[in-house]
Amino acid sequence: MPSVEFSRQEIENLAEKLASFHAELSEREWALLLAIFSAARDNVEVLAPATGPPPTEPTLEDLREQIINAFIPGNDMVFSVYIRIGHLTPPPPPPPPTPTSEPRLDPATPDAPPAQP
Amino acid sequence: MLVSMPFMDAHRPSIQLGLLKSLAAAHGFPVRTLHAYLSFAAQIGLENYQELAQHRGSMVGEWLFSLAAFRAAAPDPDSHFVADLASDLSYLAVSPAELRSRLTRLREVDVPAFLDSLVEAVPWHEMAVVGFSSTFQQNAASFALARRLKEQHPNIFTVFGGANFDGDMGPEFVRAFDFIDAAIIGEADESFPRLLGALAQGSDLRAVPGIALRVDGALRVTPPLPPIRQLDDLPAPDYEDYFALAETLGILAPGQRRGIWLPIETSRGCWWGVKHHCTFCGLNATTMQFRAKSASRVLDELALQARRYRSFHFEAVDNILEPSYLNDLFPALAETEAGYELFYEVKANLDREQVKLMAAAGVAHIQPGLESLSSHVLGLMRKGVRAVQNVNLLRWCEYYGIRVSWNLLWGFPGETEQDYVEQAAAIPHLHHLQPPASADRIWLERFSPLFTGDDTRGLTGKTPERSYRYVYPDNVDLERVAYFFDYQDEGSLAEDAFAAVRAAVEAWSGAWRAESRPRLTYSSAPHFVQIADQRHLGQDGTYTFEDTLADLYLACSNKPTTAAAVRRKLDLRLAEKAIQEVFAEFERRGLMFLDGQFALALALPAVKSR
Repeated sequence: MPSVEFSRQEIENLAEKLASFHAELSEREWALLLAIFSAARDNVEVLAPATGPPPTEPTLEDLREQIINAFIPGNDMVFSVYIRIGHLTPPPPPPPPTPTSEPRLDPATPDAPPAQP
Repeated sequence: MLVSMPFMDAHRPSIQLGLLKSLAAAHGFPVRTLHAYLSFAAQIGLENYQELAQHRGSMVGEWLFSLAAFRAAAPDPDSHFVADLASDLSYLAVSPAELRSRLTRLREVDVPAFLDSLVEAVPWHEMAVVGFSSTFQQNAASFALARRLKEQHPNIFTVFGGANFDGDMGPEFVRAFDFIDAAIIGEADESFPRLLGALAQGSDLRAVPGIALRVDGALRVTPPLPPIRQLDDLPAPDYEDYFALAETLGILAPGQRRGIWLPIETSRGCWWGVKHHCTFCGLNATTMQFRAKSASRVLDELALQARRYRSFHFEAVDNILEPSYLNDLFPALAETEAGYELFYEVKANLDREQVKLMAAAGVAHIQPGLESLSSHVLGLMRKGVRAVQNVNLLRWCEYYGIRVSWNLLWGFPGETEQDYVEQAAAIPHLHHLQPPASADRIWLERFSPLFTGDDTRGLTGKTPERSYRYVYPDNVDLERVAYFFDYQDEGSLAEDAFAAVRAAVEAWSGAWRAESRPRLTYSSAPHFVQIADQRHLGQDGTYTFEDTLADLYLACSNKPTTAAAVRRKLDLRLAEKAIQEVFAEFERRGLMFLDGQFALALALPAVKSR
């Protein structure tokens, strides 16, 4: 099925018209209509607006402020992250134990024969 | 017989001897080479010898052999040299008494014994020609042996050559010393075989190009040939005699050949010097024209020499890297698994990708001639790079694991105190990069523009470096034979202008020698960067930047960049001037190096070598 684009305004107009039918439909007909829209929702891609409000960009003073606050003394980079963002986030779990034997790169490949002298 | 006398580095075969042996052999002349400096090293002890051989200051090596070379005409029989130049010789001994004892013993006992044994050990009577190659401090030792040989074997024809005989120097030595029969001036690849041919045929030596000789007591210098153009036509140097002697003397133990860096010549001249001769450089007196071997020829020579001499280490004797090797030789080396390690002198304007390629090709050590961290001073010396490029090269060499040898120089006409105030301020921010091996005033070299005054303001008040007067007899015109000169230039800055830079470099070197090397590394994700600063003991810390600040910092990491270029690249609305203000804030924290319009992030990626 070819893709068709609809604007937000078109969708709102249709919703208003359908709402006006509500009183004329039975409970089952109304449930069927909602089921049709529910199934259609899975095939709809919402596109971002082509133009929107301009992204905000910091001023020089903002950047200066950030630079002034960017330094944290100490030599543990990981620890400094938790402090900086202001959450008492627990540290990450310890890494899994190292396997006793190194896994092969490709388990399906048999060991290479010894080098010929 | 071709001879190389002290003071050559004992850990290197002589490429001059090796190449001339191969060339002569190709013309049908049987040649042996004698790396006699190995014998002297074995006699006085390798460590003792290397200390003398690796120093390039006062002419102590020349002075040690001057008595043997010039006998009654030697200017300093009572060894005033030791006391007069004690401050220059402090690296040799701890006390003045020890210094005097050590040097006078070498001069009066070890040198005569060495020469005696050399005269006895070789069947000189079988030799028709003895050739001496001389560079830096090899003159007096060569003269001493030549004199003894001529006394005992008057029929031997002695010929000298090498960098010490270029320009006016060779003809003056031929004029002054009758134990020199001829000298080759400039490149010997064609002159030397032609000289051997003329001697074999008994023909007139005046037909040999590029030599100085005495004819009926008068000095004659024959017109030179143009420098050889096709380096691919040259044979590979023959180092067999070096390894045989080094192993016989125990300087090289069996199985240690892998530790020797084999000299290899892949180009001659300097393509940069042809366009803009660096003002302090005295190399390439008559052979500036740049010529290079093809990549395929270099690959063949590397393979041949590695197999012949059982070493994978190669030291290119080139003055500057052939740029096309970045397109052919290094990609080819990077694809192989040969395992060569290479040394090259390079121009400092290499970018990150080029450094990465060189590392992959096996370039383990470079000498880029950085010389300064001031763009103003670099401009005065006509280096053709900015300070920010020097810093960037240091960064990527550190990242990709290439050792950098460089010096920080001062003393150029036109430099200002501010040039050195700025460098002293910047250096503490560079402690995570490789420091210079030395920081000192330039040496004035013969043939350099600062000496000749060609296209630049030359240094004034120049006289031959003072130690020459303790070496050569009165009949030698030092103005014509000296390579290094002292100068009293009225326009130069006083020494105290450099005190802060000197101290900063000492601190840098000290930090680099510490058990835990200084580091400045960053980890990044999109719009996010964290910089771990471990450059200064006790001042460790972490900088965290997000969004615009992170983007600005990372945009200046790969190469030096301007605020305008960053603004365009990141599509920012922030004014260019505001971006420059941000760069200045980074610089105040030692996170960026600023150089005019250019900004460079100083931190290196925390992940290794990608």
